[in-house]
Amino acid sequence: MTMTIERMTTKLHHSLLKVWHAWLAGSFLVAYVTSDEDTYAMHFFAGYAVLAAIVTRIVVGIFAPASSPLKLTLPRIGTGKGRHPAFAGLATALLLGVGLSAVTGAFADGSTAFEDPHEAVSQACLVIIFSHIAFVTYMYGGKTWIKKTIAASNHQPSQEKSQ
Amino acid sequence: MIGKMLFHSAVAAILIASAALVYAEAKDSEPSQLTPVQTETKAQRPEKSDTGYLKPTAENPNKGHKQDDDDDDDD
Repeated sequence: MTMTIERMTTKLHHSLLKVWHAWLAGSFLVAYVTSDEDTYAMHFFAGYAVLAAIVTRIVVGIFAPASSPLKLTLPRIGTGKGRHPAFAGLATALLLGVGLSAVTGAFADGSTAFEDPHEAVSQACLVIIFSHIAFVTYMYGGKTWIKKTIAASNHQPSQEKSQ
Repeated sequence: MIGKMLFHSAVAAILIASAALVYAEAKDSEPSQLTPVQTETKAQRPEKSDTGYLKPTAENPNKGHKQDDDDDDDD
């Protein structure tokens, strides 16, 4: 019974994590696309949605139980256990980068001095985001696909030779 | 899994974009909250009497005014 409740809680926390991921990714995408001056109000709204997502994640990550997937932990390198440390490393870089972008954006709303740093940090965030997507794609499918492709290409010439 | 994540993010982006659009429309349609620029203060504004002439603002209106010979309105 306790195991079932625990499993259900973990599943719920995973679902909440997915909702949060969609919230952050969606609002960042909208904020990036509407960065033009003509769509400033939309950019403003989406930017504050990004900031709210980051603040929520940090607060939830601090107070979540240790067993929860929502718990924020520092990335550990060289333990050899669990997931690849690059997952946590890139996630930390994303939280810091996107968080900094949102904070400088909020400051830029009050002072024009923050406009250039906000733009620079936001552009740098794109590099981290694409690294995150590339790494996750590689780990959850790309790795197997590359192995299969290499195996197939190694297998093909030998078949041709035998014929 | 990656496809699902991308799909969820796209759905969230559509929802947030819609909400942002509603916010932008509401902001555009609301009247301007700016107050008109005040060019003079009440203290600077001279009060007019009922006759249309300016009222003296100081207790002694002739204070600081050197009276000339032609100031008298005897004629």
